[in-house]
Amino acid sequence: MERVSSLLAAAVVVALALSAASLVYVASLSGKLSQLSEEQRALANRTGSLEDVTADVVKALGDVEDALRGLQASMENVKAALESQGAAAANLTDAVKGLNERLSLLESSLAELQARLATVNSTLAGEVASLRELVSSLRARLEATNASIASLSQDLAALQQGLDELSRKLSGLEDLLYYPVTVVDASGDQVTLYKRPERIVSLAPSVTEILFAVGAGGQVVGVDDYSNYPPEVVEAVENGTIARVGGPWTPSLEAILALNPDLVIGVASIGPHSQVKEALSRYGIPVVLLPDATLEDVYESIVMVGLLTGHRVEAAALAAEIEEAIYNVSAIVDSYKSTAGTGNLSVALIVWINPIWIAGSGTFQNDIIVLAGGVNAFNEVQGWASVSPEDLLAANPDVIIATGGHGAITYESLMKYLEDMLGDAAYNITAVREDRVYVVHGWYEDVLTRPGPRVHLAVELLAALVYPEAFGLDPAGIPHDVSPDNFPLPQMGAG
Amino acid sequence: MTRPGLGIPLLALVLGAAFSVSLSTGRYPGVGLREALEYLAGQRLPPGVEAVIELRLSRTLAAALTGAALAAGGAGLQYVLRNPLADPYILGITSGAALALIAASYAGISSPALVQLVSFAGGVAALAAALAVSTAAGGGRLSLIIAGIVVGYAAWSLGVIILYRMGPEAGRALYWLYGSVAYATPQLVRDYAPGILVGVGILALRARSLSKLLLGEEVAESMGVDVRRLRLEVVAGAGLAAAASVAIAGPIGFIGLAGAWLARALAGSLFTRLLPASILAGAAILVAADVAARLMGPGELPLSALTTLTGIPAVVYVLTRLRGEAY
Repeated sequence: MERVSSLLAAAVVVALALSAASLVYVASLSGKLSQLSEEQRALANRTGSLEDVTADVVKALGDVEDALRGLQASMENVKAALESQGAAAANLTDAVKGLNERLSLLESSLAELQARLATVNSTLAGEVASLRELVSSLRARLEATNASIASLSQDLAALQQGLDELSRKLSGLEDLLYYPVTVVDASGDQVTLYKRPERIVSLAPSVTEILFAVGAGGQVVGVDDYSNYPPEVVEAVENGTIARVGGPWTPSLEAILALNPDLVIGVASIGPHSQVKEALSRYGIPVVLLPDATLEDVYESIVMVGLLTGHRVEAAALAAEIEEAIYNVSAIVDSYKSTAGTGNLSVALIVWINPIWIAGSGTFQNDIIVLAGGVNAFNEVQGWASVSPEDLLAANPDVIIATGGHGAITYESLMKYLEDMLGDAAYNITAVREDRVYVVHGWYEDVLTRPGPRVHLAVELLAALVYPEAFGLDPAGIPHDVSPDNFPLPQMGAG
Repeated sequence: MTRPGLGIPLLALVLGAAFSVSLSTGRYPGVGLREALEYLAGQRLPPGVEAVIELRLSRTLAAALTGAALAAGGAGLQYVLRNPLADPYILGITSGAALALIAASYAGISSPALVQLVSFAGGVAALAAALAVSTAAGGGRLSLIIAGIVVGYAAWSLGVIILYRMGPEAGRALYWLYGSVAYATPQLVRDYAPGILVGVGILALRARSLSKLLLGEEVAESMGVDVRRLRLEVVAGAGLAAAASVAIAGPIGFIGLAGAWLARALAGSLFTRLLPASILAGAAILVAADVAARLMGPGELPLSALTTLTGIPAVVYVLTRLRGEAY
């Protein structure tokens, strides 16, 4: 009995020693662990990507703590068994064996954790180093690029300067080669310009329109009182860069001279322009009279103005553009007429009433009527002429188109005049009977009365009024007082 | 009127003033009487300024010469036709001359001498036609006026017809339908001033004989005046001056009446006084009218519009006095 109890006591001592040793070991382990976790925290602080690993470690630490708690519980069991003295040594051995197993497991998992931490550390360091390298190499490349850009832009500026100088020299050379320019104007005179005109005076609205249309607007310093297109003219007059020199029929020689012009442009059909030419030519101021009787004259005027002002190419392009726009309108009307089987409608173009003034043949308006697909009802009359209401009855136009005289004539006043003069006979005129009488207002009137660069719009307007069906328009829908506001041109901008 | 001796200096003063104002008025800035005098004194000025002065001088001279020619012609015609309403415009002379000028332009005649001759022929032919119509109508004073107006209208109409036939080339010729000196050039004045000077010169040479006409034709004849020849010479002088004035400025109405009657009112009826007074009055009226034409419009106003307005009071004045005036 004594042997057994001494054996037991020995066993207990051994077990106690063992558990004490294991406790010491565990305590040292846990010391290492806490050290590790500190390192790990430090690592976690350095990089956010370590957080996952830290969480793993914390979890493992929790496991270890759990195991420690389990160990304490089982030790208490052992103590209980010792106290009751009835516990079996075999059970204890088993428990010790189990403890040992779990300890070795713990050891291996700790080693694994350490290894993983080490690899994480080393890979992180490697990556950071390579990133740093990349950044510094990128920075170097950026600096190099910046430097090359700076030198490039310097080169560019120098190049630009060289180009500018070259183009200046070229245009000077061009001017030298371009001028002198000689034209034969509508009065049959040879007019020679020795350099590009920079102070041009225009004596008529159509001339002003041509000058601006060929790109010579910047060279204009004076215009007549009626010039109102393009809008830049009105602006320039308002801000004082262009002066007015009197009405188209009443230009003031002194107002022209006050502008110190190097070119004055008028038209052949306005008498006083010849007077201006006569008076100014003797003072060395070139005065050119543009032909303005027919549409052909409009093209000739554009080309002449382009040649004189140094805008030859623009002028040729403009003339071609106008011609093409007119051709397009004519083509639309022609195809409509051939498919609909419509003949040429006769058109009377009335420019004034009481007495009636019409545009006969040999006028640019006659050409407009013909190109719009019509035929002038007053073909036999030469130029602009006044005709009697009976003449209108005899001519019997299919369509009557009148210009509004800037508000002086309306559809109502025109119809009243016709009815007053002709009575019921007015309705023997086809245009009146079929309700095809129109009075045009606003800038429509200007394009119909000015032999200028908007003549294609006049053709289009007339075509749309005479053959509305060709443009998909309802004849009944056309207002009698036609203006840009209530009757937009169907092909607007075709030219 | 009051003191005939003062009339001529007074008119000269008025003409001088009108001339000065005309030389100082225009749309070219910074050119006035002083610059004009400097130019006339031979001083060199900037080319633009010289051009302005020459043109302003030309239009002023054109106005003065035209006014002088028409008023002198009017005074002379009033004497020899014994008709106080005689005036180169009313009698159809200027219209006839204008028609001839339009025809000459249509025919392509441009030599000043030839143009002057054609214009003179047209003016005299118109007067002859008016006289013929008037004689056929009984020869009354008013019948001559009506005949002149009719001939003038006929010439105007023919002129318009020719201008229509000319079409767009009418430009220069249209000038002869609307009187204006706005575009007068030194050349134009040089070309036609001689015609005016010769025409007015003829009147001046016959001034003494004309003055004798005041005593009646018989008395004048008895004093050695060939009335028939005198009449022809005065018509020729007045016609030449009027034709040249039309070539310079186009037909300008009523200066013959207004000028001659203003002169008569200020300097009396004696032709030796009446002629210089008429020359001064006509010149002054037209120069003043041209200044007004320059100032009134944004552009250049036709002169006839203004001269007709100044002439109408003279016509009314003459018509109301015609009955009692011995003349």
